[in-house]
Amino acid sequence: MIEPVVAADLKRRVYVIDDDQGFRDSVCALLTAVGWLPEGFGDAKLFLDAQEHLGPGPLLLDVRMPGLNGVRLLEVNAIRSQKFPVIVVTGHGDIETAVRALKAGAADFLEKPFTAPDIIQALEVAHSRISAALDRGSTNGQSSPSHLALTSRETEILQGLAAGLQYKVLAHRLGISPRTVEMHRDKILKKLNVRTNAQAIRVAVLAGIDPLEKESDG
Amino acid sequence: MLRSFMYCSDCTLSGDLVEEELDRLVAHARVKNERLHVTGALMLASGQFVQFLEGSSDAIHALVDSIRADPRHTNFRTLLDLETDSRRFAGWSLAYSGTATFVGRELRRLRPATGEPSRRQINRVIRLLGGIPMYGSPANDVGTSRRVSLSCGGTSADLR
Repeated sequence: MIEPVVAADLKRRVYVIDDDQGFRDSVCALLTAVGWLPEGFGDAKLFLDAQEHLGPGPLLLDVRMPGLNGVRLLEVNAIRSQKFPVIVVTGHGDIETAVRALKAGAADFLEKPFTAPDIIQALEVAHSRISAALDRGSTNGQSSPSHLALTSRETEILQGLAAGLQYKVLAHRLGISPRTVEMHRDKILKKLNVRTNAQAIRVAVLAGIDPLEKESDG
Repeated sequence: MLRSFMYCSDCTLSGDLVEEELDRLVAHARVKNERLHVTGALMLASGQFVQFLEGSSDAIHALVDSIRADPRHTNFRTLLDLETDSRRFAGWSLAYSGTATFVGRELRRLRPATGEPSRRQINRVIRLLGGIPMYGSPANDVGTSRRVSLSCGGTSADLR
């Protein structure tokens, strides 16, 4: 069932934040056995302080630790979730927590006790998410449009926003509804991991995306 | 009288198409459902759709007929088709679309290898969709103060 054969240099990083050392140790042992390179943290603060210096990898985050709510960390964007897709782990598998975690941007949700295949599958999926979204572009330090993982429509919308076009004008120009423009915009913000149009435009400029040329209003 | 309908199905779209096509589908459905006063939620995970819809019987039947015929999914299976006296959702939305294995597992449990999905599981998924459970209270999924049949109303509840 479990395939442990992974060359040492291909080992994938995974971070385990849990105040229960017994749990941490057993999860790390399991993940090491199946070819991951786990690193445990006894509390989230330690991880947050270190995240700038850590390589990308999925993050297993217990939601209920003393003095801290793991979902809250996601909600306040404390974790760079593109680099560290968060798999929320909980011993109290209630649907409301799952909904809240996924809404806050968690990549996945695991209920304790989970099986080895469950955690491995969740890690594989979360890991492929990193490679798809971020890993590709970040290594050369220079992001470019293809590294932003935007669809061609989303790129057009971003170009429109960068040109300062109103949603209505942009919608008309692209032949879609303003509502659809807004929906694309929401996706763009999510993908770029930013909160405002202004931040998205900044990313676009850095990535070399040119604004749409303005048409003369007829 | 209101009608509630819930189904699951397999997505036939693959790769890069999924996202764009889903965007289009959601934009279209949002407008259409608003016009028909239909509320509910849609979810896509691990290649599986699940949707809860509620509204007037006429609206629901017309909508479900067109959804059934949509080529973007297959293996359509009715989970609920019943009359109800209150709405479970305030509006209509795409509740989730993504790769979470958790959601995928919950949706797969709507299709047990044998028999029908449990009410408890249907309730879990309704809550995952962001709605109020159909049977009993969230604390007590299975207990039903007002028993409702899965196939009441004499319409096509094809629960195999």
